[in-house]
Amino acid sequence: MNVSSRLSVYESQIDALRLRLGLAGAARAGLVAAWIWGFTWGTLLLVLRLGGLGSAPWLLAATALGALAGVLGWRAYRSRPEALRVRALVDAHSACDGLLMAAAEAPLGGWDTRLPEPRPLPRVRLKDGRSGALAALALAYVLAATLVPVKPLGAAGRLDIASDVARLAGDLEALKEEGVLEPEREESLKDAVEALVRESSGSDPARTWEALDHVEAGVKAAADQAAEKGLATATSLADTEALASALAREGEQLEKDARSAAMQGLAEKVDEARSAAKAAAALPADVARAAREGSLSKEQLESLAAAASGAKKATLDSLKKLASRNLLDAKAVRRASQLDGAPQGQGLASFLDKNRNKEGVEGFCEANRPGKGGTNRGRGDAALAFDGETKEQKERFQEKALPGAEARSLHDSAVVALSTAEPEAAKGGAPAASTLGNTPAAGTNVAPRVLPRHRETVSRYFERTQ
Amino acid sequence: MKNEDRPALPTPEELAPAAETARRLLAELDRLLLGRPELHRLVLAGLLAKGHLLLEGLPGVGKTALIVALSKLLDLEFKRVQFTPDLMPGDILGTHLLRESAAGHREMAFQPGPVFTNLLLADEINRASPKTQSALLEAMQEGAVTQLGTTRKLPRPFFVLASQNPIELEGTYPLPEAQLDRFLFKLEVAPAATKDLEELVATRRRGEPPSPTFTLTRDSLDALFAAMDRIALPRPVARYIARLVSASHATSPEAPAVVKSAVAYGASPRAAIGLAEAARANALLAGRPAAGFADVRAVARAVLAHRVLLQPTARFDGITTARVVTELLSAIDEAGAVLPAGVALESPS
Repeated sequence: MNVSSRLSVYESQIDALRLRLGLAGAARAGLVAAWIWGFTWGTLLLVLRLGGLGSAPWLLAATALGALAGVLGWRAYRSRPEALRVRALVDAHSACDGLLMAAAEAPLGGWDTRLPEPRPLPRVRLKDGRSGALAALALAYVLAATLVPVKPLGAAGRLDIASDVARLAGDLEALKEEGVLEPEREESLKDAVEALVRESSGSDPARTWEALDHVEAGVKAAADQAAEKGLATATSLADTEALASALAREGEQLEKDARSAAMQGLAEKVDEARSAAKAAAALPADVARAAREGSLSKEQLESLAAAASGAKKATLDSLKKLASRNLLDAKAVRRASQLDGAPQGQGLASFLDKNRNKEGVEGFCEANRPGKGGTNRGRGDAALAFDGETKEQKERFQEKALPGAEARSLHDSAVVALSTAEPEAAKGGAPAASTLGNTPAAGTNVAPRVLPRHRETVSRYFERTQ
Repeated sequence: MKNEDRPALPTPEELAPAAETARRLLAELDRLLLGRPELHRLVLAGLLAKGHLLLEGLPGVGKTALIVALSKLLDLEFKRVQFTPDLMPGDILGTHLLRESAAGHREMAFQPGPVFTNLLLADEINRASPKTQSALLEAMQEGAVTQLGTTRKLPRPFFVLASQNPIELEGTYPLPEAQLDRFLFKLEVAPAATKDLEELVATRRRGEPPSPTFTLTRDSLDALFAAMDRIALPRPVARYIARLVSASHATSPEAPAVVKSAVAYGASPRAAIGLAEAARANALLAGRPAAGFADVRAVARAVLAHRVLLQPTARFDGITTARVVTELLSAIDEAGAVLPAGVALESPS
């Protein structure tokens, strides 16, 4: 190396070393900024996520990190050792014996050629394990914070009734589709459900559950009403179907009075069904009028039976939908399933021959409902009536004494206890057993049978107590 | 002030004669006195720094011989005072005598003492009483003597080269701290090495040194002092000196542990001034135009050791002032470059 250029090499070394020290300081400040940012942002992120805010302002956070690192880094770079001190470092490092330091204060004159050969600069090392570890920890903290599920802080205190609310909403929708609920009633129940969602609180679950039960009871009551109404309609339609098909089949065989009564009953059933449900509106109105006049033809009766069957099926389908949502109780479901079938519609003539009054038509209808046996196979399901005197009540039964209890043989018995009480016969059957089971009760003359293999045990029992 | 505006360093050509003179003087001293070249170098550095020197050693190790040899090399007036317990201040400084003038009047006339010289050898200075020792205070610091209200300047240059026996010896009085502080160097004169003793016994009758072949004239000495004035002391070196001296106080934040535990009083600002001058002198002896950290380290022990006062208990812990200075030199970073936190420098492999 040209000796005259040594001073410029040294000057370059001084600048380079100072720059490296500044950059190392800035890098270290970056680590400090990273862990400060990490712990701060991680905590903020946790608060946001626990507060229910899933979308954190990452752009703002990144900007903050950049700004913090920039400010700290710039401050660290600015606070790097001053040039004169770095010059002293290089002077000592290269054994310049003060010449390099003196060059900063006065012209070296001819001494610049006597400067020693520059040595390689010392390496600048970042040795701040603590900041590095803290930065890594802070970044891990941020990562962990991002993995925390978004959950409102109050969520722990809220009651999860989402599934119940969804079920209730579905029930309401089903009731609405079936036209069970009136609009006002539906609105009030919906409002109640929404209020329940808003006000459900884990701090007072009983209140929430009570409110839920109350709404559910309202829905259930509406469903019950709908079920009762539907079942009544279906019953009327089943009766209409049974009576119409019976009249179509056997109407010609009936006497005039019976036929008139049957037609009258049919007209009432049609009116009853029409007024009960929309599904029964398919029944022609003029049919009821014609039935009262007794002028229904066989074709009209068959048509009426078919219309009643269709209307009944529609009514039962509606009930099945409610049943599929568990809105009907088991009894209603069973009744609906009983009604879901073809009526017998047989034996009208013979039945009405015996029961000419109005109840006779009603009884026929009842007996011919789907699932019943019909009138021709007896009325097994007829309601019990205790209003008439039975034949048996007039008859006297012959009294007969039952044989008394047979005295048991004493040859295999042993006296195990004596009683001073007066012997008396047992009244009304076997004596009550004592607490010992097989020992005779006090005041009885019935000695229990003690099997031989038990005698010794029983004797020991009394010896011990005595 | 810009770099170009400052006084330039002496050129190599300008500095060469002074450096050559110093080297020749040192070589002659080494020739006259066998062994201990480092001691001779420090003595010469002390003289170039215009400082007073205190040599301590057992009797017969060559303290006085060193000073006498130095006086022979320098073309300066030399006087010797043997300090004894009954020596009075007037015996050193001079005294007023009642004399009768030619006109028959009686008047007080000042009779200068041996201190009025260029080179004063105060032999066994610690055998005199503290009162007499302190008589040299003004002379050493101000280069003047004041008696009966009259101040008289001492000739220039003025050096006190004192020798003393270790204070453990009988009949010695420890020098007061103020007196000690006025000595630029306190140099330990160790017994001669066997090789040097052999050479001494074999080549010199009665141990008499050979006659000097070279004497430094007063002009040459002035030229040396002029060259000394042009030796630069860079600001980082000055800062290093200041930090060293400050750290010798137990209250300094940079003070090493041994200073905090064992030092009662640290070095004075006079020590810092002396350290700077001695570093310059060391640089001149090396033929360099500026003092460096190595120059400071070379003279630090001689300058600081006698100025640091230890706690009474430190003696029982085996702590010496020399050890304190060594700890100071190893604890204080030369460049004083405060690296950024968490950043370190590693020497290239």
